[in-house]
Amino acid sequence: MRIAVIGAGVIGLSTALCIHDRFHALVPQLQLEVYADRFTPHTTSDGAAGLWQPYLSDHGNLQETLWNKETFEHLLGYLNSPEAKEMGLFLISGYNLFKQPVPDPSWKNIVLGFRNLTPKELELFPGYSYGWFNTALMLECRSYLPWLTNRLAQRGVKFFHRKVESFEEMFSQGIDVVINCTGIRAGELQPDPALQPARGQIIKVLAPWVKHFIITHDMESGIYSSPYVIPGSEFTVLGGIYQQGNWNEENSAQDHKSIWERCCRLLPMLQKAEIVQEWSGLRPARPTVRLERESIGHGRSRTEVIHNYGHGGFGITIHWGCAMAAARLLGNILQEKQSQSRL
Amino acid sequence: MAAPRVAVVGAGLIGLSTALRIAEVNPNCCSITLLSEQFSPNTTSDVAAGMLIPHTYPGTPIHVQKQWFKETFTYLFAISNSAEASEAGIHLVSGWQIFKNPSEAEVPFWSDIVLGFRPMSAAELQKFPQHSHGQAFTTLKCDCPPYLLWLEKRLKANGVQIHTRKVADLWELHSEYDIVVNCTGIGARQLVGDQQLFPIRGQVLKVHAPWVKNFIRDGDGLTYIYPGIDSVTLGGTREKESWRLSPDPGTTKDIFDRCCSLEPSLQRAQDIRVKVGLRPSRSCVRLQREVLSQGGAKLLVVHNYGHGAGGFSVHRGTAEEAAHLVQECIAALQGSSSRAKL
Repeated sequence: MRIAVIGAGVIGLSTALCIHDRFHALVPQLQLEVYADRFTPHTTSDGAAGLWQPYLSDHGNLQETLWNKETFEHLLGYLNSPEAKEMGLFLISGYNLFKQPVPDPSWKNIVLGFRNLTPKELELFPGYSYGWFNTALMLECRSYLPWLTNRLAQRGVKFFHRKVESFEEMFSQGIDVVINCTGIRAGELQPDPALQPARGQIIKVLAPWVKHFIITHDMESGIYSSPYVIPGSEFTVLGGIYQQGNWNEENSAQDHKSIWERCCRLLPMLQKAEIVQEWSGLRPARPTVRLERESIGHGRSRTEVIHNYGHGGFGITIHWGCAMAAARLLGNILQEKQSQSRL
Repeated sequence: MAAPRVAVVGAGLIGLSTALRIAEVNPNCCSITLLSEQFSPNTTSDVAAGMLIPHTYPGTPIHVQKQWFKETFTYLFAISNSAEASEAGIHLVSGWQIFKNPSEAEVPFWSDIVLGFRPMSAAELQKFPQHSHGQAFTTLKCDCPPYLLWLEKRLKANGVQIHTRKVADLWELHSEYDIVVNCTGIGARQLVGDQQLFPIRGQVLKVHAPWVKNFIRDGDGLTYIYPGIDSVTLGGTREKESWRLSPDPGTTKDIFDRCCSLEPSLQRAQDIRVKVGLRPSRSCVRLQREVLSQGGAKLLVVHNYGHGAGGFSVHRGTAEEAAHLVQECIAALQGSSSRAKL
């Protein structure tokens, strides 16, 4: 039973690990393989700051809220373990800022210590009149992806550095189930007009005196189009770009200026921070995450694809819940194949 | 009468901040010189984490301590919110104070001055299985040396002269200065023979663990983790009457173990440096005037020492009071000099 995961970002690698954990003992002949043309540190996941935080509203999509919760709790379980540092996992507190009162988010009871900001705290952020404080998690992919990779390699999972051109290519090589974790480029394997890039650009600086994340929100211009500051273990990420439909992965001087000016206005001390790196990436945005089975072909040559892509700007936030859901779908497939073979 | 000559003795946090406040409230009316044997990074203040979490002085009314803390917090809050923050080493930090004993978890007098003070939720306490209660809040941290170096820079900009000099006896200054401000911390024990002043030895570790973003403090005050700009301070000890300045290896291991039990990821900390400081402890800060005289000569003294474990938390408030006392001294000198002219 050969399972191929396509994609080695946070979704691909975590789904592979979840599948291995769940099935390697139950299905002794299980062979897990990971195919990707980009590995860490060149994936979209590597560019993300790594803050666990869903969008402000789940638009009634309780399924995604549940996956977010499962991810948070899974990561919390590792927090006090010796693995945490190697995983790039740590607690971080910070601020979400608004220009008017807003309803509490779907995740207020998932994070720790969620509360509204006091008037004194709002003095720190002129122009913002309302906000939240909470403690959440950081999961830095430039540590987490290597950690996942090591765990997978230790378990004998094989990695293939190449671009997969089609699902058929996989099936013709004897793959039984494909797990499609191709993120923004899923459309190259199967057209999906619902999947669109939401381009982001970030500036990485050295600002070790910043200990809190600060995310501002402009309810009119939309998520992540307003400045944000996220301190990591080594660098602090400045951002605030969300451009729908823009496929350009090159850094834009205009976006740089916009990020820099707005973040320095938000946090004047950043003017003294040294710029270390600039990066652009394409969030794989979709109205909902595509997490479902699809049968390709018919009869004896029927093969299965499990899609797990379209996580927008919340891939890290939702990854483990989705990995477990994908593993459950695989479980259904394995059960069906088992009962088929008995017939 | 010529402009009064003021000497501030001591270049730790108290000396520097007091000299600055004197310069700020008395522009152009006196000359100020700072004298010290030690400067940053070799002062007691450099060892401290610089957290704004007050220590309670048994001998001072609570409303006075609260006022000192409020003035200090307000002053530093403004700096933390400005472009100067990184140079001054002042930054906000959030975290938790945790207790094993519910009776210790009372709401402290300073809870409405720090930001967002509230009890910890059950979910937050799960990170600390051996503790049953806690308080979450956001406060300020003054990283040293940066803060002390920034104060020195402000002093020079205000025309304060700074000299390295060991003062063995305050009276030796009487011919060069009219007013001496004694900010010698633990040194006051020998300098002015104050038997009420005693050291409380503190050993700390400064480690590289930049993923630690929140502070954790055990309510017993002995175990704490304070993330700074370039290092995390792990503490600590409170050894009364110990004058020992050299680090103790057994203590180092004990501090490390205690901190790792609160924050297991510290096992991966690198570059561990050990420091020792002697908290200049007293039942209350000695903030008072004194007149020294020998023969016909006089020397006006303002004492500002004995801040113990709470120096950072109240430094601006006590500097303010000391500066007022210096103004009183100046007025007294001008009064007596005009009487001398009659």
